[in-house]
Amino acid sequence: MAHFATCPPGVRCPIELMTYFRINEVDSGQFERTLIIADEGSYVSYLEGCTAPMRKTHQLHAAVVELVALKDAEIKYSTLQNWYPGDKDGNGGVFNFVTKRGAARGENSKISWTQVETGSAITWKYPSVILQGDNSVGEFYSVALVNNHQQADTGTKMIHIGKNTRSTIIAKGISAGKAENTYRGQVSILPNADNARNFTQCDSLLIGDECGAHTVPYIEVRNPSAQMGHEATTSKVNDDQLFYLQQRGIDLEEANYMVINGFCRGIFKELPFEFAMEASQLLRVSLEGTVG
Amino acid sequence: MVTNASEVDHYASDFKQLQALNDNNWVSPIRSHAMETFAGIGLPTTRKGNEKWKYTNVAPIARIPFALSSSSNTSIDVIKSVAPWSDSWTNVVFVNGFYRKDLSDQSDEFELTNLAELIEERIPVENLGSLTDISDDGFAALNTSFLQDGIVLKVGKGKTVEFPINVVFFSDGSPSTVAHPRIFVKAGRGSSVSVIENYVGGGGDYSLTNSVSEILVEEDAVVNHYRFLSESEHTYDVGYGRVKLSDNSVFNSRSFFKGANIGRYDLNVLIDGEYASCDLQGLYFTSGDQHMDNFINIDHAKPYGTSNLFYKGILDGKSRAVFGGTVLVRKPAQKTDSVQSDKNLILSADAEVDSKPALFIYADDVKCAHGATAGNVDADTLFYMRSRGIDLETASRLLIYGFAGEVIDKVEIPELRDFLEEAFLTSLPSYKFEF
Amino acid sequence: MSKHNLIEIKNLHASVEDIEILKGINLEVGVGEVHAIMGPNGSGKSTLANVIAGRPGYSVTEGEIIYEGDNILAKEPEIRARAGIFLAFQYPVELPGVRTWQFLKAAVDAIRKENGDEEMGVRDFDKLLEEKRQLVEMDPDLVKRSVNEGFSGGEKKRNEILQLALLDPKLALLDETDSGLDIDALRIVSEGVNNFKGPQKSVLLVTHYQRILDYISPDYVHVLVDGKIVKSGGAELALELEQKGYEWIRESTGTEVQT
Repeated sequence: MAHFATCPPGVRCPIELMTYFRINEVDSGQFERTLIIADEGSYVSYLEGCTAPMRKTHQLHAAVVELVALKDAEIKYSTLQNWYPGDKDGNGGVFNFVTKRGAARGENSKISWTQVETGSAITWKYPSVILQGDNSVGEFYSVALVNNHQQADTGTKMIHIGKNTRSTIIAKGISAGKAENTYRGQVSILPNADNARNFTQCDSLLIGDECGAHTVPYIEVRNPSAQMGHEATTSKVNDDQLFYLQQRGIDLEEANYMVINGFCRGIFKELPFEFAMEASQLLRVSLEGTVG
Repeated sequence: MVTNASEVDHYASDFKQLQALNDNNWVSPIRSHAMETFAGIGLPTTRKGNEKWKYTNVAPIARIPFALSSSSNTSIDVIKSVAPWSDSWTNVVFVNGFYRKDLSDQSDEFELTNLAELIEERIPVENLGSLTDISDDGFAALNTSFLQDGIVLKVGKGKTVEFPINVVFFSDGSPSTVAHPRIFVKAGRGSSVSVIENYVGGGGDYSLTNSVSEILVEEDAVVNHYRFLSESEHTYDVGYGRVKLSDNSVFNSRSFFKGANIGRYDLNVLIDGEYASCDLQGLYFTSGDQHMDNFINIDHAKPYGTSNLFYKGILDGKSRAVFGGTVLVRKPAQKTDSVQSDKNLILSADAEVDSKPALFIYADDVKCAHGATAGNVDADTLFYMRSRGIDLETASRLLIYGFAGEVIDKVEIPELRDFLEEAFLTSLPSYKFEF
Repeated sequence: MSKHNLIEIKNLHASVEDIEILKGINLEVGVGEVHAIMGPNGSGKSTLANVIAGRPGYSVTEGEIIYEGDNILAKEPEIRARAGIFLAFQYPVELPGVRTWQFLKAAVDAIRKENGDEEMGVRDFDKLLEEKRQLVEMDPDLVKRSVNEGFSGGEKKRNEILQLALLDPKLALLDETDSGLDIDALRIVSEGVNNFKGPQKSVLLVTHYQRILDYISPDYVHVLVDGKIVKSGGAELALELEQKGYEWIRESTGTEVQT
């Protein structure tokens, strides 16, 4: 299975291209490939949603997505990943091992990855941008929520090659149950990437004392004109915020949802509107039973 | 890990000679076990999947068959010209890894002996090696295989040692030689002590200093630890430090790097008591084709711990600096408060910095943060100074000094602070930031 | 022309990242005069102050700035500063690790060197600094700390005024120095400016509000809208503006005002 999309020069694709993936067969794997080429001056926004029914045994999803943005082109790629995560004891669930690469090849090109990852037993994926064109821009916005026995190891690579290239990484991780959540990301600023800029912010929330939250950035700078900054925080949900909401009559579960939804809002707003609503709903469902 | 047979063989023959000197001694089985371990793991030259040494290639060190060094009659003036020194301190001098009684001070305030004497007298050192995991580190295994001399310091219960203990490891730079200094410190309950570890000297040909320090900090004790590394541009220096903190204890570390061809400092602080805290700060200045790797880890194993990790680097020439900092918060370590930061100022187009500040958190009621920056100063900062009439070169110098000064200023021993200011400020480059 | 101009700005056009902010400014500030530039947000007031001081990132596309008879547009910021142009920043920059004392002395010495004087002796400098510090009622501890680091908003502005007193320039550009100040801080800052004022000194004060003009009375008031001076007058213009708002300017001059 494969999709190819090319957006011709100068065309601003007015509608969101939307795909929906589902793995139905028991003990099966899915290995699709996607290639999107945005020609000079074009714009395209592509959305993918992923679900799978409950199965007692594991399924495998190993896809490859490649994006190429030429001069002045922009590609926005959004993912809502809700593959079956397995049951509360860790039985079943999808292994989600995905390769996503973007080449911001032309001058002033832009590639933006947004992902909301709530599903899968194990997720390994690092949507990347190779910033080749001068003044090109790479973005990565991510919410990864894991519960029960899920494991997510996700992040990005931003490889700055062209001059005046800019990248932004905002990653929010939420861990609950016995789950493990890792942000793993690389920012490389190569010798010719004059005036490259990167800003990275990774925040993690922990719910309960049996889960883990890990932040592993790799920062490689080989140009003195670079400005790169990385910040990360890890904490639990703020008790004062929860109390404030409870004091106003909101029950703990709802309060918890509200605080976490707020924590993720900056990412959700990068999604097209309907997708953002769905992401909020997904968050609510995934958080059920994590407090109290 | 794949080991290089010739590299191991070479050390094995030196090892046999050393063992023959101290037959049936308490150190013999410790060394033998370490040598067996080393034969199994070798030096960490493998690159693939080697996270601990991801950005540092030790092949140049592995290639040279370093021979055990011997003592030399270096004079006190030479030592004083390269290391911090004050007559009010307790100064302890090692040349090429061997204790020089004639150049060292004695004290009856605390127990201060050299390891060679304890081996000679057949007095075992309790807990020596207890913090070092040789199975995981070829250099530490090698150090332990050649356990020969070093310092053993024990500060008694409740004792406050007023003046710093200044330990100088001087290398006279004999070609292709290696010294394996060993430091063991035990700060008894409620005691307080400052220790300065210096690695200085080196010559025009390649030599290796491969040190291991272990510091045990008992309940309510405070240890202030300073480390100064300034060796010749042909010296390889691998340092391995392990610290264990008990309840309510405090460990403050200030590490300063300005010399060695390849330098590595692997420091791991285990917070093994409640309400213990550590504050680890460092300044590295690399130039020429130097390579410095700070691998600084804090392991929170008990609740209510606090840690601060603050490293800064200035990079010039074709040098490369590596910062690997990890804060691990284990499940029982609730209420941990930890901050980590690594800031780099890159002055040259050929320099490279690789920073990997990681957090591994397994407890939920914690506050942990880290940050890293790399690059030049920002344009606004420079404009602010220029708008006050200060030229680019002066502005750049003030900013570079200021950047370094943030760490140096916090040194609480006045003579040492003055020494470090002099040592860094005279060697920092004259430079113009331009935009 | 009887009056002696310190600075003359002629048909000044300036852009930031290809967006034109100043669209032909004409302004003359005589020696000993106090001018206030007022205008709504985004009108270009701060840009004007920064362009005069030579901030990188602003490109002058047309026009000239004549200071003491020379066009200074090609001059580096520090050269302008040594020639007596001082900008009190709207957002003073923090300089971690750079001690205030050291920074101030470097600035004082740079200007002295320009005038052919020796660097100032430490004791003389300490005396001078202490005198000026008391003038702006700045906490003595702040002088020992890194420049502006961890200072409150008011402390930062006070530090700007301390520098004004210490460097004793000819032209003081005050970029929204009044913003975010409480009444006490505003009084001290204004006193600092009033102490500076004199027959040989000129002030160009950029502000959104009339409030600071209760303390520092201007000789001339100019209203800047959308990169152009649309109205000039005496001190009474500021009061009129305060009462009637920027909307009134639009009506009376036919200019679009975005507020």
